[in-house]
Amino acid sequence: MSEVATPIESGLWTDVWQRLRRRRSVHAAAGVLALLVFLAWIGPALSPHAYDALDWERMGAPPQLEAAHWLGTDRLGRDLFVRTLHALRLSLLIGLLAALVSVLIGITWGAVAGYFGGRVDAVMMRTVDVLYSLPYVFIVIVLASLFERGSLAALFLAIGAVGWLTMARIVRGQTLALRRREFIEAAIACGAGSGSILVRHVVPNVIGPVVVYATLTVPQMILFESFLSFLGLGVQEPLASLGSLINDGAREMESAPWLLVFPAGVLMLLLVSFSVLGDGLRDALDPRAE
Amino acid sequence: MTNALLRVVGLRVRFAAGRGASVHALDGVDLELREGEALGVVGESGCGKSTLVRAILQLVRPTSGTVVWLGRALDEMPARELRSARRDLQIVFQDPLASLDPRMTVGEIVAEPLRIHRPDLNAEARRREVHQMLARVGLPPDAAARYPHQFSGGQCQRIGIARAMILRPKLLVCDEPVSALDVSVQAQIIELLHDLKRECGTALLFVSHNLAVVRRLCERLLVLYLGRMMELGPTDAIYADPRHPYTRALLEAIPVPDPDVQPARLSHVLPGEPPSPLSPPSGCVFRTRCPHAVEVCARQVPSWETDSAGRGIACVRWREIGPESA
Ligand code: SF4
Repeated sequence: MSEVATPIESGLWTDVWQRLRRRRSVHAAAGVLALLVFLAWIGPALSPHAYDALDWERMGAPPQLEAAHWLGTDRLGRDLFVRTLHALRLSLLIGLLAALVSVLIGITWGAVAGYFGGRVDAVMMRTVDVLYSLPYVFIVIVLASLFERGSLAALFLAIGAVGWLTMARIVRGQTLALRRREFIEAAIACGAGSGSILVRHVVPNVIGPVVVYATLTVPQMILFESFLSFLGLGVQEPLASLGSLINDGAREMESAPWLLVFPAGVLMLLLVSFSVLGDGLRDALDPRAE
Repeated sequence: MTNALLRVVGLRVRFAAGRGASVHALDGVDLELREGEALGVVGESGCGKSTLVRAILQLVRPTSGTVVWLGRALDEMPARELRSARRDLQIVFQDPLASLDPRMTVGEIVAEPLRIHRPDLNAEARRREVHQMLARVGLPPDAAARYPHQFSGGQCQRIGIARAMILRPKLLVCDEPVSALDVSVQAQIIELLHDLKRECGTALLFVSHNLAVVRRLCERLLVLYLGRMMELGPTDAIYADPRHPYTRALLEAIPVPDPDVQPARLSHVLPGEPPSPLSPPSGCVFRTRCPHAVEVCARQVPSWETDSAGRGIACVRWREIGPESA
């Protein structure tokens, strides 16, 4: 028969996975990320020091093997190795959680607006526009004043609340394009309800761009937290995020450069790996990129 | 009549065309379909065939007129009831691949109507039904686990037919189901539809620009032009004695094996292009291309005349033109 096609792969995600595996840069980025996560997880336990313990004998000490201050200490004598990894843990957590929040709200909001269209869409997207036009810092300051100063919950909320706006726009755009596709019409003609169409047909079909954008959101969120910490609105002492460490380090750049170099290096590695991974995913999800 | 499955009354669909203008994609269609009957709808592209299908299935809101399904107006049904009415009203689309969700396996796609309308079936029973249906439409047993993009156009259309027929609907609407396929594959799909119709007693509303295909499947034929009904009647009678000048032109264009050539042939048979639906001609919409057009055709919209043999026609001069004088 003329209409026999040969099976090539067993599914779209298998395709994606194979295209992803062929990319060296993605391997490297995934390796670096895995290493960073691993270090953030168990790293602090490798050192004899606690992240908030003061070493009165070695304040502002440069990197040394003596007394196990591998990356040196800050001016209060706290071990930089432990503090950096601790900060990495916190930054990762903030980045991932905020990305998760933004993905959940963004998909729901964008898919509903795009699918129902008309007035629903207009009201929902105007809301997004208004929120967009408010300055980030303003939202954060308001939230920070509602919660206890330096509360992590407030920080998550603030960052997540800002992050979903772009996601909602992306998902809405995708959904609008999807709505005109025949298989959505087919589902309606089958008698599927709107909720089931959204969950079973719309969301799975927008998940590609969502995954890519979410991967790129994580570094944005980490950077945003760093920025807030830099302004003194983020994580409070003795806790540290990469941003607050860099902020402290920058003040002593001349007398103790290691305080800036190491946290900044880790942050850069983190951001670059996430970006490379996101780009790789985007290419892998687009079959035309072959 | 009481035994009508589907009754379409004065159906009009108007689309906004910007700056206050509007296009009548469908202008006054009346038809009736009995159980198990097959009605073919033919016309050139842009004649409102697809709009008719979508309006009947309530995928497009009619501007006026009603679609009565089993004695109840579909457009007045609450959303919930409309959804359950769709159980018996299925559709096969023109573009086979586009009508299948690329992220779902073929098994999930074919099982979807069951999931919606047969919540009493458990996963195992559903799986069995799906496998039977896939085998029935001639797909390999391992098809269920694969994705639509791994199949050819013809196979995708088989998947679409399996999805539409798995609930054994009372009416299957086909919107140019073979026009996107190779000629050799077309015949196979037509035979499949023919067999399924006989087995399940499903009524067909079959839209096509290909008259040969319609003749194979349908007992009755409706000819549309610019969203208006030109001629309606038993297929054989229309083939033997086409009354409307437009039907005659369509039939003269038939004996070309490749249906894609038809529109080109048609423009040889008929002078000129179909007029823009934005500004349809006054009187009879066909008059700009009709070889028999006279002055009265421009003044007067031809009324719909029916005879005792169940034939209908919209042409002021059909009696004068006489049989096969074209
Ligand atoms: S009404 Fe006049 S123009 Fe229209 S089909 Fe009949 S003869 Fe031709």
